[in-house]
Amino acid sequence: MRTAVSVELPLLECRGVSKCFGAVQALWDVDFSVSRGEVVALVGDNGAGKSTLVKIISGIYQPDSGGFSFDGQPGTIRNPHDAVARGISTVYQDLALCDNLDAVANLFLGREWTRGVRLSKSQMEKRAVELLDSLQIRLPSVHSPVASLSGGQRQSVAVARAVLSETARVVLLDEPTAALGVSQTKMVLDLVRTLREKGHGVVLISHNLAEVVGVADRIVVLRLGRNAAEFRRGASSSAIVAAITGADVAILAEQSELSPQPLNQGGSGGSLD
Amino acid sequence: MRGSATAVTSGRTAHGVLGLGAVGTLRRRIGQGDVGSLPIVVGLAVIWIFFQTQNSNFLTPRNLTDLLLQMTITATVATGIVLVLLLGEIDLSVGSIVGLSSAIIGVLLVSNHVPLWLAVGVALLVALAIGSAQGAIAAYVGVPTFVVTLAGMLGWLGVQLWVLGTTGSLNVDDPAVTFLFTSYLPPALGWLAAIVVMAAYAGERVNSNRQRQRLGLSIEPWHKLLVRPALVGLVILIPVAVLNTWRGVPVAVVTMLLLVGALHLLLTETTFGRHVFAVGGNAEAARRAGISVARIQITIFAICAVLAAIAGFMSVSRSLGASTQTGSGTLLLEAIAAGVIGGTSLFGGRGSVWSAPLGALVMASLANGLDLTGQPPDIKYVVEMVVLLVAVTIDAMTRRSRARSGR
Amino acid sequence: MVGFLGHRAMKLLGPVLVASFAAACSSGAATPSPAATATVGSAAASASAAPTSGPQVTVSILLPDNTTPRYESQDKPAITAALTKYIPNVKVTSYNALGDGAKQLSQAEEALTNGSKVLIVIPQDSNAAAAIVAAAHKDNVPVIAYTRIINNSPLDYFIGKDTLTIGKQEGQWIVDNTNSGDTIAVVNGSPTDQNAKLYNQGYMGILQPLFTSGERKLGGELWTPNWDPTSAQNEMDQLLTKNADNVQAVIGPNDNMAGGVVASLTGKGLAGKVKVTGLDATVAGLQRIMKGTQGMTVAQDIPTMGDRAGKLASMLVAGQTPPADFFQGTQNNGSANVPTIFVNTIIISKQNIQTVIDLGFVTKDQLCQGIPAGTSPC
Repeated sequence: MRTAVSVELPLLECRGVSKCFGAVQALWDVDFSVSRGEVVALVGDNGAGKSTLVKIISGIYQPDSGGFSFDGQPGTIRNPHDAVARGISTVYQDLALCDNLDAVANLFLGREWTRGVRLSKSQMEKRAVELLDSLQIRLPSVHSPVASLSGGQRQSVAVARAVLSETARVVLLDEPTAALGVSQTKMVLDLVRTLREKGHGVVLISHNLAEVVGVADRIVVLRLGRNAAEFRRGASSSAIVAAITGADVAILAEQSELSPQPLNQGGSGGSLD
Repeated sequence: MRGSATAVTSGRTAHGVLGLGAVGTLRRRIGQGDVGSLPIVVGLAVIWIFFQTQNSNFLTPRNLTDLLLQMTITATVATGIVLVLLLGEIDLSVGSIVGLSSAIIGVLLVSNHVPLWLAVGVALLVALAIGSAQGAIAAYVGVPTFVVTLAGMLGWLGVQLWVLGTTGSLNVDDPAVTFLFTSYLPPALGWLAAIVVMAAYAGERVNSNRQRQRLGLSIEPWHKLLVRPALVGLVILIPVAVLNTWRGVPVAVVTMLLLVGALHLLLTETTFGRHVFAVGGNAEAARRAGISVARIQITIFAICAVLAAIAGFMSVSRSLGASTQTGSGTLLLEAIAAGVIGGTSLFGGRGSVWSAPLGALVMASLANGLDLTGQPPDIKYVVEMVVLLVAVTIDAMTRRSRARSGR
Repeated sequence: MVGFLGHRAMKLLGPVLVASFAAACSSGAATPSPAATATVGSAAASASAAPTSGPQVTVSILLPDNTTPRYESQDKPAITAALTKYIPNVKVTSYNALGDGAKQLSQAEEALTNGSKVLIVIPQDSNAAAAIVAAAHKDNVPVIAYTRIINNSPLDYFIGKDTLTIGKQEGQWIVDNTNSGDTIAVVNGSPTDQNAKLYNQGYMGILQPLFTSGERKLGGELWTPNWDPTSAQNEMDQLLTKNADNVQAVIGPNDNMAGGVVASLTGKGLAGKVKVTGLDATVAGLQRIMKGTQGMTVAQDIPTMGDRAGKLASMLVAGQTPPADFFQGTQNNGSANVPTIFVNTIIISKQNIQTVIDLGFVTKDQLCQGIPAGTSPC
């Protein structure tokens, strides 16, 4: 009997995705999925293919082969516009915030509400405040430029921006806590949990295994462009590290006896038994 | 779920006691590097008081009227420069565009007997084309704006000289042109304009406050709400009163202020304006948000050039003619200095179009006062350089303290 | 986004660079026009039709800028015509430094390399052009300074207006056209221009004794960087304020700046009531004289100037020493007494405006463009 298997179809599923850049095979036959209310960590060493996969999901690259499905329905992502239309938003490491604008302006950047030619500032502020509240994000003021916010607060604003739209479903976070201190990191991880509670699917790319282990429901390991392993919540860090670096299979097998779940070589949760 | 009142507070906190809250806010803002135009207003007051002690003609209504007329053209050009600075760019060709526009208008009027509206229309269209082209080359070809507009500065000067031909200078005394700098609002109209502006601003504040109340956002109490409109009212009414004791409010100054006001609204109340600030703050972020950075750039450079052309018309009106020297000399540098002195950052993303007339007023006050006290021009240059350096230093320092108060 | 040089720091450097361009160009009497790259305007050499017989002889004309129209449109043709007339097999090459003194030196060197036998130079920078004289003398090429003298150098010859005398003429005209007790305002030219200082010496030489004795009053004296008419207008505003509009006459001193002065007077309703002097006999200035807003200007006999330059060059090319009576005197340029041909200057006021047409300085059409019919002499 499997534990915590959702009978719902995943928000986003990739099957057999491959991508070549000239002579370099960045991804080979990779499967990936994320479901509603699930935090999936995507880990792997440098060059494992994580950022390529993220860019394919965001619509920046097109896969050479492989397919997508959304809630079980097959579909494609041809460009970033498609990704956004399907409710997929990405928060990059450099955050892409305008430091001279306040939180409200940043949240609505590029999709401002207007009445005629005029900005509907009050309405935008109200929605911004609602959103930040629902995500339990506390800012000293929505009116000061985001440059004056702490790193964790800025990250929170960037994440909030990703889910501003009612149709946001999958949020990809690229190294969200990389530059943050301990309390700031906690702020961001709490936000990740809040997103999960609200039913979003969160994909977390991170090098920090301690964090990942603490918050992720599933951990997908890529190595040299392929699926190397997949772990469930509670897996040990050393097992994950071994998968990332490609250590001895025996060691992995030994680890897998200790952990409740077997190795998963592909496909999304629910394909065994 | 916490309510919005405690989870997120809007910046306009309403401390119970009037005044203390404001001072606290002000102190916090200065510490955070958000001084705005405060230093320069203080600086202007200092300059005015100083020159008044040196020559008691300085603060007379007559001289103040002269002063406003002397700063109008620079202020108009500086407004365009401010827009470009907000993007984090520069436009070195504005002086030559002023000169070229004045030459086009002068020659078409005097040599070709073209009706005024057509002459001005041609000049504006030429400027629009020039600005758009320069912006497009920078945006699409990737040539730095410094280089594109430097080439423009030289090129349009050449066209100006060609347009003027061998005479090199011409007189224009068509009253339809010269009225701009020789007409004044009747006193009643001056008062009316002041009251209208003040009432409109107050009305807008009240309205937006009421809307916020309806939406459940934090609001400002009545007494705080009307402070700004009252200040603005004073700032308008006092000069109007002073000017009305001489000849009234000059039409040229009203025209310039209307232009600045319109652009202020564009920048602060429209999506386009917000995108300008976004591009100036972080062009890459703006691009990722789907904003067409190229389109913003081209539009801003076009507006800047058109403002320069308007300044060219003003120049014909004020100088009663056009010459090879129109738009040359220190106009470009004074316009840039005016923008920076008035409080717009050279680094992009921060500032206000009101810094243009404010900075131009400072520069013109210096020149005017130094003339009245009979100072040689070398002193004038040194003083202006010092003021500019102080302004740029304040800008850099506040920028650093902004960054520090961040993380 | 590329930003304007890709470096935020360059934003501060930019205005500094531009400022240094402007500063470098402000030392001339003409408008500063930064000439980092050559654009419209004859930066390159332009040859004229040449030789009939014998080996070609090259003579070069070096002009300082293209913002003062007369250099390209009047002086250059006059000199070229004279050279062609007096030297049968001449090749005339001309250069325009577009306001850049350093560029002018390069152009001089280029002319010498191409075998010029005589250099006729209007220096962009009267002091820096000493280097041009030095370079020319290394090749045994004589230098004729034209309309502006080259200082502190063994300059060979100078053809120009007698700036000091013209200044005196302006001052004298003011005295003749004002009454005892009148107030006179003085707006000087560029403080970095030698000519401006000579004019000032001239008119102040006539006026200062009257100021001292109280016959006339000095309403104030200001110097105008770059000879900028807009600055002149602002300065006039302030001079009027200082004197509560009680000014009876103003020293322009040149036509362009007189335009600014008249604009300021017009704003206060004083145009036509205050006497204004000018210089250069520009069309705009002459028109103001016709309308009565400007009192006088000084016309230079440019055709004769050009002719004298050509004749002098022809003598030098033929290896002759010019006779002593070819010159009217000498002018000291700080290190030498330079043989000088002083060009004729005529004071033009409303009474003798016809003269400029008669002498061919200006055509009737040019003069009368935009003037309502009936204003003499149109």
